[in-house]
Amino acid sequence: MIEEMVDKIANKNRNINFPYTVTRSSGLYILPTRAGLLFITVLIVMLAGSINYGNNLGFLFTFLLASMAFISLLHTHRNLLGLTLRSASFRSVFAGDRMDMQLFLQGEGRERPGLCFDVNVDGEHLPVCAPASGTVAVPVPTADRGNHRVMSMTVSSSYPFGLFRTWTTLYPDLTYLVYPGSAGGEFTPSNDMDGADNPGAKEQDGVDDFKGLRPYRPGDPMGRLSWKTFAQGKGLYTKEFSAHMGEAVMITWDDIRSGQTEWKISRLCDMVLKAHDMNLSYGLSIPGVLIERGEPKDKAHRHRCLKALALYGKGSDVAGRKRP
Amino acid sequence: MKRRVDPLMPNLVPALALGIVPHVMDLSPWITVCCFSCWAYLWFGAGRSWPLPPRWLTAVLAFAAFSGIVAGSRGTFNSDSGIGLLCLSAALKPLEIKKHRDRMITLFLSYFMVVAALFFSSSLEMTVYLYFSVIGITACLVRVNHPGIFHSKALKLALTITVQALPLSLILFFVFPRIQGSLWGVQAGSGITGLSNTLSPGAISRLGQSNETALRVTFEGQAPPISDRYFRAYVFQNFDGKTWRVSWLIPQWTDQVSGDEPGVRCTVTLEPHQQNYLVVPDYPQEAPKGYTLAQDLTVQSLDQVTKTIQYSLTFFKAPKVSAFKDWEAMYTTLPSSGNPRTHALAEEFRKNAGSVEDLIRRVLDFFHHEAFYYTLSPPEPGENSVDGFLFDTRRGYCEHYASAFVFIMRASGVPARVVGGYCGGEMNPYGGYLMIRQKDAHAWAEVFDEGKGWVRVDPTSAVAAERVETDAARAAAGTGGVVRENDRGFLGGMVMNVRYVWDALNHQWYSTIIGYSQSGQRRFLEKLGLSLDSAAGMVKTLLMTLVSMAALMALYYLRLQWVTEGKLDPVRKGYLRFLKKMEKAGVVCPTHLGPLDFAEKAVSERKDLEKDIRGITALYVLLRYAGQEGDDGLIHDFLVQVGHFRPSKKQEPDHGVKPVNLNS
Repeated sequence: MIEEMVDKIANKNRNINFPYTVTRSSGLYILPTRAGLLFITVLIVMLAGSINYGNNLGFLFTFLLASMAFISLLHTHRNLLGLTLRSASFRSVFAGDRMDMQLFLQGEGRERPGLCFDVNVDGEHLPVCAPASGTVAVPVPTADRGNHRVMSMTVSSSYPFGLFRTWTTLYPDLTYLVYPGSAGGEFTPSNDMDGADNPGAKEQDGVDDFKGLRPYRPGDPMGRLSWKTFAQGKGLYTKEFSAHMGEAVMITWDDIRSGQTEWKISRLCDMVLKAHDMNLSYGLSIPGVLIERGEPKDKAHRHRCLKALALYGKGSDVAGRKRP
Repeated sequence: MKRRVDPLMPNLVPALALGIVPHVMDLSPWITVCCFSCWAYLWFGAGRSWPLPPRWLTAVLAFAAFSGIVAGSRGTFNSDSGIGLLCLSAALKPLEIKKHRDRMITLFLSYFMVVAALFFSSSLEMTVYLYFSVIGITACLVRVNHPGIFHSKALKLALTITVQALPLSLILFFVFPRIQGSLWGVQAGSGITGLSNTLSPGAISRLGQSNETALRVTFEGQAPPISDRYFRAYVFQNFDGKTWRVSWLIPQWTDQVSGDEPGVRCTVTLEPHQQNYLVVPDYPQEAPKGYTLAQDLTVQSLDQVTKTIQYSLTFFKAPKVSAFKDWEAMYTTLPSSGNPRTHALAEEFRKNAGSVEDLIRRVLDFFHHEAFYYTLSPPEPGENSVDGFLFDTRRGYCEHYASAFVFIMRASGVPARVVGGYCGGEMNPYGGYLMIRQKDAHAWAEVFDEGKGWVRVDPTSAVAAERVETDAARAAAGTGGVVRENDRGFLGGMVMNVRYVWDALNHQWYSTIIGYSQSGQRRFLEKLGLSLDSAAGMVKTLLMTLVSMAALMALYYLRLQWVTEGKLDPVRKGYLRFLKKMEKAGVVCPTHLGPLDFAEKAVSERKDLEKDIRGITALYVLLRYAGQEGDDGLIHDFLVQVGHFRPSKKQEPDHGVKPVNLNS
């Protein structure tokens, strides 16, 4: 808390870029830990005893311990100074899966024992300690889809005695994306995309080869309902179409007819993944976003679609900020 | 949840054990057993995750321990019970370790035990041990905070920091203001007692042959000649037929004693002897600050001397002649009955002697020519102790001779007194001071001679040399306090030298550290042009302290920097320089990339630098991995190439892959 206040005043380390080296001007703070305060109390008691009994050896050893604590401060300070954060990387995962922020550290030719990180993601603090310099994996929260922001990252160390803690707080411009969780279900892309304004429409032939009927499930598009059977009083059925390899489909918001928004997004996500796996040329149309059909097996395309889903309704400010 | 033994315990137990060792001798055995059994359980249980005793049991144990201490101290809570309590809490505290904080508290307890030990012993050996235990505990501190660090590294770090802390702590030590007039060492637990304030020539020899140092004297200028090395402690006035006693009714000197010659300044370091007297060289000019000088020229302390003390004073060979004072009539009294033969002998001496001087000579001749022997194990002289010694046994040591001599003097009507103290001593060639041991204890006589004042007479020295049985007496007899090297042989000489060096170290230790006092501080600071007497002086001292400490810290800091940089070999340093240059040029090397992979990546991003990149990388690989490590020429080429490598800034910024470009 104090650290944050101090850093706000200093207003340093804003929007830092990697690789970032901790320097003297980085706002490198050092204060006694709670154990350090206790140690200072112990020293004061020892000093009082030495004065009271006029014991010179008491003085000598009290000052020895005090000087040691003082010198340890140099070591503590130096443990962070010159530390380079080479990079921070993420690999997007689906909501609920484990994701690590991979921090690459370089110690400038020195070992850096006892480094601790406190990563603040969307206000949630994630403390983790690294055994030595190298790679540190900080597990980050992935419960919600969308862009997450690393608001601050506090690197600290209380090496070697645990009596002092030095720290610096960085505000890196780091975001990571969590795809929506995918909810399994039928692959039912809409077939009613007209080809007039769609350059890929001609490839769409054969998408809607009728396969058969299956009982209606909430979310099935209205256009696929088999009104004939319904009229015959046999109940509500949905027409199924088989999509073939190399076919072109459009995955649209209306393909999932019912359910909450999140459910819809999860279903659409599932469909995108399936379309990708089935080597289809697929596009995505959700309110506000239209992604035209791309090449089959195009990972970047898949990412674009998943990202659009992940950011749906999350406001575009975060998403749109860092477009290369 | 079941509480288990802390897995970091193997880092805590050694610290605790180091802390308790200096106390083991003073502790009741059950406390030591308690501590070590607790720690043994924790030590062995740490790896096996043995359960901890439940909380209530710990509480019961703590209560039992406390009761044990109270019972053991029999109601008087003294320092020993305090130490017992400290050790027991160190035994029980690790039983309830839950958090990191508890571990730290346990370690602080270890430090505390070490510092507490300093209040019980101030010897150089103990201090050296305690210094090493501080290093050990500090290594434990490092390991507890960073369990991943190797033992050897933790120990090395602790050693480095402890050694670096030493100069800083010495600065603080010498500059920190002392408030007491003088600071002593610590209470001597051994209970060595010096001279007794009674002197019974009949009693069994109690001075023995103790080699313990009684005092050390540093002379400013020339040490007095061997025949004048007398150091007085007591003057005995009253004799009851068996025992000489000190009277406490001696008036004090109100001003300085004056002497015929200029005095010599000396500093005495007196070992504790649990009595109220100070030992001073004959004859003191004044009492050291804080003590009183009686008119019989002895110095008294209000408190018993229970710690090593140091004091300075001026002394001279002979005080100015003074008239016989009224109170000195006590130096003429003898018991009304007893020792009839001595009385008769004294009467005979008095009749024959023309003057006091003549009388003294006659008595000394009597000791010399009659068959008197000097021995440290004399026979019992019998009911009339003086008669028995002078006429029957004729065997005794200094006390017998001094006592009999003073008796004869008083019986002849001459005021006389027995003086107890030390005589002789050895000059320590390494420390330049006179070492006086307990075995140098001596008794002699002083006789009042009109026109001369009180004259020192050492009747023991009158004993014929062939009838002397020990070294000490030979020293007293004036043949020399320093026993010559060639008397001891080669090995004996070596042992003697080691002893001298050790004693000199101890003396230095006591006079600079243990005996550092307010006056010592003033002298020390004066030499540096500083003082603590005025506000301005204090500010100046404080500033100087801070500046010197800051300078030391800066030195350490630079050293740290230098050490880590110096550790890298030139080839590695050169490569790192290359990487830095590449970074400036816009190509960042992720830590996981080897040099060849990095070269590929760099070339793909900066085609224009291909030649340099490949050249430097090839040389580096050659020097690092291809067995050309020691090739100085190659190293030179490599470094030159890195030095000349000046890549331009990035040309096409869009081609580079930013390492932090995530998924957007």
